[in-house]
Amino acid sequence: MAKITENTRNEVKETVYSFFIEECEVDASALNDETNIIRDIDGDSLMFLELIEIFKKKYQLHIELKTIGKYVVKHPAETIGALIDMTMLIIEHEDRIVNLD
Amino acid sequence: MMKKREIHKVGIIGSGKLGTDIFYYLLPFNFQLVWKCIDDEEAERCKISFQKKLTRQMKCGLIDETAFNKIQQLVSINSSIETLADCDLIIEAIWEDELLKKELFEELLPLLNFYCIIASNSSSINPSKLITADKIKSKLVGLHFFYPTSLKNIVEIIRTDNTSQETMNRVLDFCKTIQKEKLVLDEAHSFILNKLFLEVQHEACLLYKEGILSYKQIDDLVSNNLFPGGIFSFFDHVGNDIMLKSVRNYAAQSLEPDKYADMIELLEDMVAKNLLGVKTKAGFYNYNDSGAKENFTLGIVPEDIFLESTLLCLKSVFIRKAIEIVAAGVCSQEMLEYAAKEYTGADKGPFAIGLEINK
Repeated sequence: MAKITENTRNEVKETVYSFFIEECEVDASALNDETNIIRDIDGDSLMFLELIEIFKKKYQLHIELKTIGKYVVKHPAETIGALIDMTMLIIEHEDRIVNLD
Repeated sequence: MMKKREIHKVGIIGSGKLGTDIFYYLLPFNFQLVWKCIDDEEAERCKISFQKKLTRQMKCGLIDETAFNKIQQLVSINSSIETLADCDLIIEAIWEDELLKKELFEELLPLLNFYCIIASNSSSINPSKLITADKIKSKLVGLHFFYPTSLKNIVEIIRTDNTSQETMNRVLDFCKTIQKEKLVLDEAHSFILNKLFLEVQHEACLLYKEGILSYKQIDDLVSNNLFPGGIFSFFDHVGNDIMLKSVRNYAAQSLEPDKYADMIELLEDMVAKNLLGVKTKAGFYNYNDSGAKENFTLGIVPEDIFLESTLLCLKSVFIRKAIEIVAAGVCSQEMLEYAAKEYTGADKGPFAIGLEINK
């Protein structure tokens, strides 16, 4: 389990924002935590999977994509802010995330 | 005995949702990959996207510089069909339209080498309907991936009456290399996972048509008790137009072609209104506001006993179809249980649900 600090959240936030700015070719000023990933910037589930791979490597997480997939279906992250929150949960709980209600 | 020819070079035709997903899934397996897009503009878009992803992967430490350079050398993205000529395996993943697929194969076949295997990723059209040329029949299979490919550890391999054992062996080896479990089916029982869920989807449509429950109420019932997601929400994500085409194809293959008439009628209505789902930002649900919202609400709060019997009805349909599949010898109970769980992402397949009801 990775140790969560305020710095971790800042790193996650920076990575997520940089990812969508680059991948969706949008200006940084167009994004905020309320931005809807599908509706506002045409994001998709493959982008989400790529982001998760990045975080798995960065924080050496022990969690299978499939486990994350199951969690996401039950708890979809529609906005950038929700995605950041969910990433924090994944980093904190790794494969035990499925036990969270 | 002749040495089995290994698959080194793989062609992928189509840059839609699944074609793209298959391409990126195959990337780490060190095949030479040729990704054929519909035109130059689309190929350029895919190239830019690929470069961006690869560069990001290196920047984030997912791959090193050696892998970065190697992958670049192994990949070719273009719109020219001729570049597929020396592939060992070609996976077709274009729009779900029989005529379009036939035209594509007519253009493709004269270019191919003797050893090339043709695999269609169609989710509803049997491979033998797509190619009739005798010389290639033995090298034709269905290879049905599920989206998202990296999350669904199962593929359906559909064998035609003419698919040779050598072709099957090579495709089975390929699936092993790409770390996928496989369900080998004949054409009479093709797309069995979709057909298993078709029964539940059809029942959900009938329940909706009864007018007691709304889409949302049925979806809530399903997603809270049966599968991780709802039925109508699934339609929206696949696309109601694609669902309609697929269900029509399944109906045509069925011994009871009129059985799915109600479901087809419902989907036809959605398509006629251009309510195609997420891609048009409106389907059974509305995606224009924050989050998915119900388009049609009945405003009735059904009694628990009604919801319980409705859920039991959906479960029964699911279990009955699964039992039929196993009884017909299509696959083992264990395999179907595993495949169904992979397909839905649920913790329980039809047989575990059956046992639970029995208790």
